[in-house]
Amino acid sequence: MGPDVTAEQLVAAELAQIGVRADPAVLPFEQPQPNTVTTWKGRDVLWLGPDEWLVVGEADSEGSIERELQDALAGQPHSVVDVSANRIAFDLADSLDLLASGCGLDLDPSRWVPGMCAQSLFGGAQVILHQLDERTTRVFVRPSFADYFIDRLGAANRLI
Amino acid sequence: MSRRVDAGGSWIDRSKPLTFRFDGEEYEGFEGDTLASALLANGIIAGFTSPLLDRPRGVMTAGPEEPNAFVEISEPWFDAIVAATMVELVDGLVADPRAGVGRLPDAGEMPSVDAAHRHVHVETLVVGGGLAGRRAAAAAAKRGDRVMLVDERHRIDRPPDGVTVLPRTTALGVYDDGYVVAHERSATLERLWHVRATRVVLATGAQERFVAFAGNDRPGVMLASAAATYVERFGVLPGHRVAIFTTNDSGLESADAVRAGGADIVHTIGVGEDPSAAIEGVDLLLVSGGWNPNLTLWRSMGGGLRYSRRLATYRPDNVGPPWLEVVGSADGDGLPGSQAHWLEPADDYSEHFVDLQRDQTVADIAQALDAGLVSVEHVKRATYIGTAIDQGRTSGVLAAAIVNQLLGTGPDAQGPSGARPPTVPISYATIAGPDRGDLLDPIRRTRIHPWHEEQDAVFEDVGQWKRPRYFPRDGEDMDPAVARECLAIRNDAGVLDASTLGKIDVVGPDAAAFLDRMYTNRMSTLPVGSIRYGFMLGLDGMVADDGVAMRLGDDHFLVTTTTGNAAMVLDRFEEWLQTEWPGLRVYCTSVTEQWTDVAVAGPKAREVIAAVGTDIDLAAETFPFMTFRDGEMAGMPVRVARVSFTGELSYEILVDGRRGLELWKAVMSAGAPSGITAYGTEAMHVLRAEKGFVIVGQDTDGTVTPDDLGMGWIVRKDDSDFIGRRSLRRADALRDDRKQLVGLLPNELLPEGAQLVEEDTGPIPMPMFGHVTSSYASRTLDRPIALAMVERGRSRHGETLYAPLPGGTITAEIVPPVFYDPDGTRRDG
Amino acid sequence: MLLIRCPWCGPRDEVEFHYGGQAHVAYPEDAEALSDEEWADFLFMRDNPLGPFRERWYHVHGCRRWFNAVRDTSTHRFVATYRMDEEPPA
Repeated sequence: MGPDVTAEQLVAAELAQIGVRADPAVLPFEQPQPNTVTTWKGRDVLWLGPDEWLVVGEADSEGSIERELQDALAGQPHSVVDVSANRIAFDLADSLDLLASGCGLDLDPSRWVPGMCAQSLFGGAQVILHQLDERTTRVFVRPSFADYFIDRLGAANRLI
Repeated sequence: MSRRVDAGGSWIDRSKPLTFRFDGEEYEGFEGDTLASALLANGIIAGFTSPLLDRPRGVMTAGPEEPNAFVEISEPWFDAIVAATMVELVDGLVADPRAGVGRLPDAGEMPSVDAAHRHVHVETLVVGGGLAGRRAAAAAAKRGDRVMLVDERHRIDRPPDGVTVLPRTTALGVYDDGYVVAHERSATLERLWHVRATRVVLATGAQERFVAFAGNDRPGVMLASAAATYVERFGVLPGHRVAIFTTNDSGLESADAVRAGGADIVHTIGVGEDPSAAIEGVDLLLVSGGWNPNLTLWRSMGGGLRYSRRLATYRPDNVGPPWLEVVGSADGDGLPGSQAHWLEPADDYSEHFVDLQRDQTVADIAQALDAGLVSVEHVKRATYIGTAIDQGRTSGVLAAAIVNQLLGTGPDAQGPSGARPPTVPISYATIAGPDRGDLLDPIRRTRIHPWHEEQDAVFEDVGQWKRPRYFPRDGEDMDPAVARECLAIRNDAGVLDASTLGKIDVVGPDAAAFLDRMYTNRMSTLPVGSIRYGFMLGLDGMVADDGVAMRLGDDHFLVTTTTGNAAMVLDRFEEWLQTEWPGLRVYCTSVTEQWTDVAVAGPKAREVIAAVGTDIDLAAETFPFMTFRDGEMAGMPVRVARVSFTGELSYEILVDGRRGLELWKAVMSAGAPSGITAYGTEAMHVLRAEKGFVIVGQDTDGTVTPDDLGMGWIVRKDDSDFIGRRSLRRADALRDDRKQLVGLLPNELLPEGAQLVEEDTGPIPMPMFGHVTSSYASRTLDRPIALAMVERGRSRHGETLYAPLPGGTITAEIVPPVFYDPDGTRRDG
Repeated sequence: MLLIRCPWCGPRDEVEFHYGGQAHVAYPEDAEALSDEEWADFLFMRDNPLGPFRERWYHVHGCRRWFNAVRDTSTHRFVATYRMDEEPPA
């Protein structure tokens, strides 16, 4: 039995998050392929759906990202919504095995590689996973599920 | 008396003795032993009893088909019931015999089962680590597949390279599209694997078949191949003076192996000679009735069988899912041909056992057939043959063959009964893994939850949310606490954490037109800055949800939903937009947790908000009911909505969720001079019921129209369509005897759900005219009140109904559902 | 557990999806013009074939897209999945 998930293994990330929905043809950024991430002006653009993306930038930049996107999409039907508080992000180190305790995605490092993202379930919580680099998985979860997420991860770690 | 011999023993390490306990006695075995081999080595030939007839039984097999030797393991792990043939011997093991039935230990008596869970994806999963399985795994690995090989035994000889090899791992079930659940268990680990495989190879082998003859269940009767296994792998000779009864050549090979271990083979019996006569003269009777491919998993996925005359058993018909294949002896390959011999003829079949674990004999089958049953499946259900925890591995084919023989239909008329997972007993705790206790279902908490906990709030579950039900002070229990909270809102000010309400951002050129279709009232005429309460119906015209829409801009709305329906409403929006009206230019985004919602209510609410400090003009004339304003409060950007669920002057403050707790504390501290009181869901329910406001899902149950609630006004009458509109003209919706929402003034507190009748006495059953949907002790009115759905209720105000209850009958007068401030004089403060 | 191929995300576990009933049952152009019987037929009556069946699925815990599928009800096997704007396979 392993110990609880450690502070080094699980770091809360302060981020700006902007939800974008629009016709892919009018985007100011390169459209990521399904379940992958591209970058735009130093921000991550996560594919959430064929007309839905999550733009992730550094903390407190939500105002400027929102303005830039609103300006770029003006005149086109679109949705640009600040969702920075709607999800909490955790950066998990070396934890794909822990996530595989409650997530049916193929998280084998030979298939799940940096630059991929996916929406799925971890136990009973909806999550967005984003593999930042070989070691780090960023997990977005609703704040109301944050305690559950940490506890469920800890239970997996104790049993692994 | 030790039966360990020098010959054989390829699986054991004689230099590593282990100590274990069985049935209270201490014994020794070796590393590599199973519990069964160690028991036999210690001369324990009986040691078990049958579940129904209490007959002595001994180890009969060397594998998962064992019908007799079941044990409970209590150290070093707990297993309620498992075959001794499948337990790897470890030092300190404690086992006790179980007569085919497990025991649920008392809480705390046994260590809790803690099973890890792991999802894994492979291209090829092989079940079974015999020769065929290892070959299939090696070939797949060579192709570049990710390959997993599982085997329930604790040892896999010569494991192939490039393959994840899991011994001690039982495939419990094979499910659609290559989903396999497998249970791995060792002294230090318990894990449930959820394997998704592109291809599943069943190399599950074959099991030797038994024959029904008198006394075939007696200790010392053993499958021939099992005895050979005990000699060769474990260096254990299960008997010295041995007879062999066989229908095929493999029995002779097994006898040779046993002889090589040092036994005397004193009789070799073939078909035509009754083996039961030989039992008395030997200490081990070997039986080989042929071989059955082990097809439990194949059959559980709907795979079919065909009868093989050469093998005298059933092989897979290879008509199954395209991703599933059977190889090796499980497919019948390499199995010895056998005579079709199922039972030894006799006058009395009452000791010809077929299913040892159910103590069922040929006589029991004959009785079922005499009663007129002809199907193997029916015989199974009449006799319970094949339903014990060994899943009928030794009895299934035998029972089917005996049914065929007794019916005179020929051996291929009916195959064995079906098979279902799990293949071996598995505890619920293992299946649950980490997902139990507080993790059984997610517990959701708002951003203000830490404050609620500091105040010792009593919580209630609302869906997955923990919401404060009330905030007891000084040892109060619920009733006085709720009464105090209600009075504070009616007289001063209260504050509620309303963050759990669903919130959806709806934007786009067609947003207003879309919401018109989703709600019964018109959202497109709502001025920017205003709020409208709306009903959402199902296509069947029944109330599905309610909420408010705030118009943020010409093409931009913020819609709220009930706490429990937040996901449902967003899903419904997406469904209509994506499947029916893809041309509508509308985008929806859930923002439920973007905002914390702090609701301040009461005649002093304005005073409280002013004290918190805001740049918003709070005057009723400039900030009227059902409008909202954006501004600042306590230095934070906020959106303030004037809506009311209590009937009192009310402000709902939306603030960035990350600052929700900060705002809440600012409200509590600035409101203290005004007597602000945090209140919970119970007070909220009482106050809204006093105002006759319904809760969708409490006062409605999916059979209630807006008109039933007396809210026909919320349904627009123009000729534009909305979801559910057509159903409101269905004959059933227009019936004049529908149940309608009424208020009740009972002479004492009614239980919710109580049925209402017209007479206080009379013959039962009485016609029921309605039921109570909400009931509270109203502190404001100083009396019990209730809401109810009553047939033709609106035309019956002033009448009396009765609620007959176990403690006596409660009398209730029907009244309009608004008990308090019917003219709405209080909402502006 | 079924493995369902979302037209956008590829194969995912069944737990990520909601079932959406028979596909290609359009909401009536003018519901008010329907008789009670016609409306009830739209509201309540669905096909229940043994064999291939066109049905709707919703990738609720993934990309939140509705899509259509042809599934053989006798084997649970998916013959095809296709986007809402695509024609069903022949």
